[in-house]
Amino acid sequence: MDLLAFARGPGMQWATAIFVAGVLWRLVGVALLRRKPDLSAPRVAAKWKGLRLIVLRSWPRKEFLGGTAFTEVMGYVFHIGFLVALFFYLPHVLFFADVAQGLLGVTFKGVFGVAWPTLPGGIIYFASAVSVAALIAVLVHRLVNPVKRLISNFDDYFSWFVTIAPIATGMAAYSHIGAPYQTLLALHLLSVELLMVWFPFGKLMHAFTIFAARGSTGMLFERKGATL
Amino acid sequence: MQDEVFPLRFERAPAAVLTGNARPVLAEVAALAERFAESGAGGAVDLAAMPLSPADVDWLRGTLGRGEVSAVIEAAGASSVEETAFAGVWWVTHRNPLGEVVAELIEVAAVPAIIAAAREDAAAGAARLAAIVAAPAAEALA
Amino acid sequence: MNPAKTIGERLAEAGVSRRAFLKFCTALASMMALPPAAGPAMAQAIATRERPSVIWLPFQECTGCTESITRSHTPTLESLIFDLVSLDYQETLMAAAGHQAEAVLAAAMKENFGKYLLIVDGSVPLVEDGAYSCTAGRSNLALLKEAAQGAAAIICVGTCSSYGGIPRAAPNPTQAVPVSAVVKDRPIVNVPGCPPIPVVITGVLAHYLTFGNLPELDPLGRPKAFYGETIHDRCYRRPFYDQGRFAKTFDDEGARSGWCLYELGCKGPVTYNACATLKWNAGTSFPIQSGHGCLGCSEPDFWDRGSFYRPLAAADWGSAKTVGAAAAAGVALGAAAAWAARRRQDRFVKEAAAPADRKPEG
Ligand code: SF4
Repeated sequence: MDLLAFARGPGMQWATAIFVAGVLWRLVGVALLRRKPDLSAPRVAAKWKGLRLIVLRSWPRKEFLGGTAFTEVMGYVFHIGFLVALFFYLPHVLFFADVAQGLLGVTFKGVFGVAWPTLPGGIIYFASAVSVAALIAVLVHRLVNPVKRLISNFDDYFSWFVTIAPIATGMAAYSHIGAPYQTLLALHLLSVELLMVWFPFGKLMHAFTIFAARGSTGMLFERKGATL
Repeated sequence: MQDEVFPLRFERAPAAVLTGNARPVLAEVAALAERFAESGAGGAVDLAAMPLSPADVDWLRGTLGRGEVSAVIEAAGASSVEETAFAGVWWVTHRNPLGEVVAELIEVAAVPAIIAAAREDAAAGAARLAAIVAAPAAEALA
Repeated sequence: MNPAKTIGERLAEAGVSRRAFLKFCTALASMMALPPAAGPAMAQAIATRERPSVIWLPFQECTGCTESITRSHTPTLESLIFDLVSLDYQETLMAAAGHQAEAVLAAAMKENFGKYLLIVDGSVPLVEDGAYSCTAGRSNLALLKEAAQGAAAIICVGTCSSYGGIPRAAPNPTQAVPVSAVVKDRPIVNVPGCPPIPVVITGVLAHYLTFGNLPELDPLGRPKAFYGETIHDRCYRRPFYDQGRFAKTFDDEGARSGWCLYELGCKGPVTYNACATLKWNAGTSFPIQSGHGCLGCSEPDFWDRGSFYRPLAAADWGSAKTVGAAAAAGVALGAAAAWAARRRQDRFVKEAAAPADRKPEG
């Protein structure tokens, strides 16, 4: 079995299984925890207004703007670039379509009436390049900023690596740079599999927990009467 | 009607576009022409070596123009040799007996190699000619 | 026959002019992506050589490869290669049969020992000592081992002799293997394809005739000149791939407009072959031009690499069952973790509620 066959077959199967099991383990584990009873009387009656924090936390408060603008902007840039490449590049969409078909027996078109849109390769390539540049920028920032460096651990660096690797290898495969296409494609798939395997166990898990965390924090703040 | 069942409408757009590969080819020809003018050593550019669209080839032909000489060589299919507007730069097209192009080159030389008669063939020809020249004389004597 | 005659002399006798031969060499050089100056050099080199003996052994195969060559599109040019070599044994093409044919084979192997080119099409079955494919009562396995000893080089024509091909497809009942699995000590060139492009075979022979050695090979033993790029690299539908315009079914608007066939399972991006440039059937077209995706027939195990109509991107991620099992395992793990956490909480609460149970301090 060559590298590509492994990456497309057993590698992908194991990565998928670990990803699914790991993510559910963590989500279910958190969801079933017993909440601490809060015995104090709520300061504010409105219970659900705290959920506004999900949106409010999407940009910094005015006071912090100067200090965090760079991180915020770069963060958005690389996330958007990453998501555009992930969800609008045809081969990726075909992969998800295959998964949806296999798991739920449905196609996007069958449910929504229109096909999931895809973007030309050039645009995907550009989005990926921007994403890579932003990722490198935030890494440099993390390394030169003494506070950030102090609070960074292995998880931060490794999560960064498994995020940039699929984009970089994907770009290399698209433009056939450095090695035969099959090798590059295999490396791309393997890097994605690494991402999937690491995902549930590191900070990448934030993709699934971030909004729930913001919401529950907001509700807690609300109850305590804090200004959001 | 077949056409109504399955109407094919191929978009020819990509083929009609200049790929940008024609200019480097022309630059190579120019370099060869310069070398040939200086030293007499020519060369050739294989048009299959670069991905050229039909539009690229048309552009090359148009830019090179036509000169005074053209010849057809009937050897296992027709090969055509045409001088361009630039003396010493030849457009050479080799076809097989079915008329398909098997090779297309731009050759820079005094005369393209395929035209020149080989010495060995010339020797054989000379021998045959000599035999003919010799024969009537013998007959006349007899 | 006088073996001392050069190819040039023989061609002249056969009525092939020097110009026709020069043209043939120019076309070959072009197809092999050699510099244009190589054409005349090849013509010069080949003409002064003696014709090499070629022995062609068909093994576990379908004769499609032989068909491919004998029906090659430029009759005079490509069949010219058969004037350049002395094809001493080819079961399908030769007039002789039976004992006579076997005698020819034995004689050719003996006379040209160490010098002949061995062409093989078809894979070699190993089960029962190779009994599944025999010629004149001898297994392919035995014949190959013997013939390889005196071969200057072996050219594997077709995916079967190169990589095992369809006979080797799962469950491979005859335990078919490629030539390279049996012969280890001879130079081998693989010319895969099901069937391979005829001119590629011609090209390899011409290279051998010209330079006296084998062309540069890629890691899978294929000549780089022909297998150096993927179908996708040279596909005329590539602009549509780049623009993101894809046919979704074989009869939709996209298919009619000639858009990229990636979604319909085209294996062009991972297939190294020259179909997109050299084409098939008198240069008419190649599969993608005829509206069908590439099957990847020149790659090892192409038959077992999933459906021809499944997009390349649809990797083998498992099934609803395996993912379901993983999900169940994940949920169980999470529940167990939460349960353990709750037990710990309970214990703390209990301990906090019953301070009297603790030993008095001090
Ligand atoms: S049809 Fe196949 S080879 Fe051609 S561009 Fe599309 S995927 Fe590539």
